[in-house]
Amino acid sequence: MIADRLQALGSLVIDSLRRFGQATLFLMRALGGFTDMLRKPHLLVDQLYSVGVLSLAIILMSGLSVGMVLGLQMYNTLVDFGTEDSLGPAVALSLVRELGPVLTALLFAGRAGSALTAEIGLMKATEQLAVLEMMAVDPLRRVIAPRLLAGILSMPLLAAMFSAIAILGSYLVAVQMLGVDEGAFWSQMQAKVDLYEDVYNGIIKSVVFGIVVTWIAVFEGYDATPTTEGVSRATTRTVVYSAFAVLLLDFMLTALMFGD
Amino acid sequence: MASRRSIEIGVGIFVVLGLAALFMLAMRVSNLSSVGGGGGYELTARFKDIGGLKVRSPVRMGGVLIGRVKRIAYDSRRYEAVVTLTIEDRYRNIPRDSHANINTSGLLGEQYLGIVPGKSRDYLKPGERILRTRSAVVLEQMLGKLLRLEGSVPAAEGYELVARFDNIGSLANGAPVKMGGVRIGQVTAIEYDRERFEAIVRMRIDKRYNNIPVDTSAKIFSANLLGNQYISLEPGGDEKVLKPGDRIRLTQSALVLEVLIGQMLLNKTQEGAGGKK
Amino acid sequence: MWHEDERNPNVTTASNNSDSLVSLRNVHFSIASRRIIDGMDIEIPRGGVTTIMGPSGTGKTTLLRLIGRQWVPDSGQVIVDGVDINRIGRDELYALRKRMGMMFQTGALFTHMSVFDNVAFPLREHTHLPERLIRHQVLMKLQAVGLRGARDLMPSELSGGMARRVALARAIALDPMMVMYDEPFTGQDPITVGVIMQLIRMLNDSLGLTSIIVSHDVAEVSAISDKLYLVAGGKVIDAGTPAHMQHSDSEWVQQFMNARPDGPVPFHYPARDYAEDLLEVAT
Repeated sequence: MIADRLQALGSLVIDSLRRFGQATLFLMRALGGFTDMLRKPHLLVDQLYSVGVLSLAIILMSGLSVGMVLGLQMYNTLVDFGTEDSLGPAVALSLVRELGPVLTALLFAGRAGSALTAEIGLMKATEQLAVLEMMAVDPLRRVIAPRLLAGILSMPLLAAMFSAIAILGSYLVAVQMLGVDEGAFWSQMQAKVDLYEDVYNGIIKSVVFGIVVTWIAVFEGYDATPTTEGVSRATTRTVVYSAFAVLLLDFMLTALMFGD
Repeated sequence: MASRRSIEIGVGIFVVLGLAALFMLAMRVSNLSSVGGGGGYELTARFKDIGGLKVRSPVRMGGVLIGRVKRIAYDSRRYEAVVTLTIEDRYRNIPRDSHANINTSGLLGEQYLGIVPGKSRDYLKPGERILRTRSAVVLEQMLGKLLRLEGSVPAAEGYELVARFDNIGSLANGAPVKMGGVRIGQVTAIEYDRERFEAIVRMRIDKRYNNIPVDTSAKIFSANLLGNQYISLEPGGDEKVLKPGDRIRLTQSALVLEVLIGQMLLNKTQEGAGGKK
Repeated sequence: MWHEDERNPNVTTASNNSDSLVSLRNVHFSIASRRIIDGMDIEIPRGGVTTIMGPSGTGKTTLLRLIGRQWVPDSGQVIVDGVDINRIGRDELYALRKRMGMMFQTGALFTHMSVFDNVAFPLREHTHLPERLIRHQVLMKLQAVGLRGARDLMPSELSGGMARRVALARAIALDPMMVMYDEPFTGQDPITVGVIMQLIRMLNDSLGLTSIIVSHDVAEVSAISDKLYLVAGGKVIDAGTPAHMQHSDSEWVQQFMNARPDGPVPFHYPARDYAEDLLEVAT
């Protein structure tokens, strides 16, 4: 009985390691395709469109509403202590350091990540990847690499947009509607938010999230069982694994960057 | 899929928006606009103790951010911390006899390096050292000093008084006993009378203060909103004085924060009505 | 259009290497401990149409994947145009693959590209021809499969048969030495089947190709093939011209060629005695 459990655990660990190894080799080969984008920039442009531009709407909408809610909630708390002037830095710090990169990565996994997995999984199921192989075109360089690079480039831009529009949203609520002093809002923010400590680290976070989420998405698609069911399972896995990875990495990165 | 032209326009807009957002985060939200990354000149200062000062901590003069801490090193020969500062170029005229202090912004705030300008017409040049410094005040040291001061009352050279309270709040052994705000002794023992449901507080009073009237009242106060509690003795007008071992009869228990303000008002009216003077 | 006696005469000499474009020698292959191919020897003669037939699920498509080295056999050799494709590097393999065309079962067109772009894809990927010449080439290939007029359609707008013809045009875009067809007739209406049959034979002869078909449509492939292989259970059962196969004395071949429901391939999945099975429920 215990031996069975141990065996199950052991095989789970071995399988996970093997899968991680496959995913790493896969990533390495795809990274080798990044140079092709210099010769064929339209490959990257197409993917920036479907990964980045098509995610814009949900990122901007969510950013605006998160910013407005943050502004409102923090105002309600801070006004009790008469410290509503520090609403600006409080909102900006939580957005730039944490919420911007993390929420963007989660939304990105749901919008672009799942779409990538489904697209690549369907290409596999309809033998489009096999046909590329047979045409002597490496699907990892031709299909995976542009999507990976587009994801890595899009994520920090999307996260920056999320944070920026969320700060504008909290500005609208706090300054325009609730009457926080405009000068205090911006000047306190500038005094407290550090370009290197906060903004750069936030960008580094979102680059890391971009690599990890896109990597998971394209690998799950490439590795999907080539059936309708297999693709739908892979799509779910992308969202779930991405969410776990983002939350775990965020904790680790936060501890590394801000925990001294 | 959309046409090539609209794809390219879309990606163009996307990149422009993203860069604009990054620009806003750098210029409007953070402090890039106030302290340039590369600009400025360096000064150094040496401290015995820098407390919680960090790289990139602010440097302020008159409260205005004029630069940041660039580097912190330790000189192990002279047992000093060497702090290198980057000061913005427009603040070139820092007098040579200025002070550099390590301060804390607010009770709980971050530490910063404050420069108090001197009177000299001679200004510090890039790379020079601010000679006059004051180290960070470390809370533990400060407390230690206070405790040493307070512990200076020799326990042997005193006499004991007793007081009974309904409620002593968070009064602890060793808490100060003050009269007119001056420390005259300390609490030596606290026990509970299980029959009369009262706390019995024993205190040792410095023998210099042996003329405390018998109608003196003992009250338990707080040092400040966040501070420790102490016993305040308010002398009465009687000719007779308390002798060693005597009990102070008039007592007022500790106040709970919630009723403190109301009680204070009440105290005032009582004092006013009592007219003891 | 073609007659039995015009067919390539060297098809029966299965072991003549120099005449074979593709040779499989004692190939074994398994997926997750399931034996798919269990010691096969196959010779594909140059310039002919060779069909590999067999019941569903006997690894026919696997053979094509082994020939293209999408999969690697556990043991045995796969020799294409004189080279063992499992012993060459990636660059050589890709150079070889440019000379192999493959038409997948579903067509496998790139869904986000028009018909024109699908056919132009291998040309744009592997040649540095100016767009004007690519256009000539693409229109020529589309003309050959009769779909020049459909060049601006998207794959979703095509019928199954049209999709396969586009896939065929794409497979021959680089003028390969051979084309592999994976189940080209499955699920098509009789007219489409006729069109595809004619295209396979015509392109083979006019472009000097070697064609390998994987199929279980006995009547169709018998009509256009120079050589047939019948495989089952991971082994080659019999091989020869269509005439030879029709008159084979193997019961197995007879069952397959004449579509008999029972024979060496049993109708029933292996089970224990029927009466015994019923009785067990009763007790």
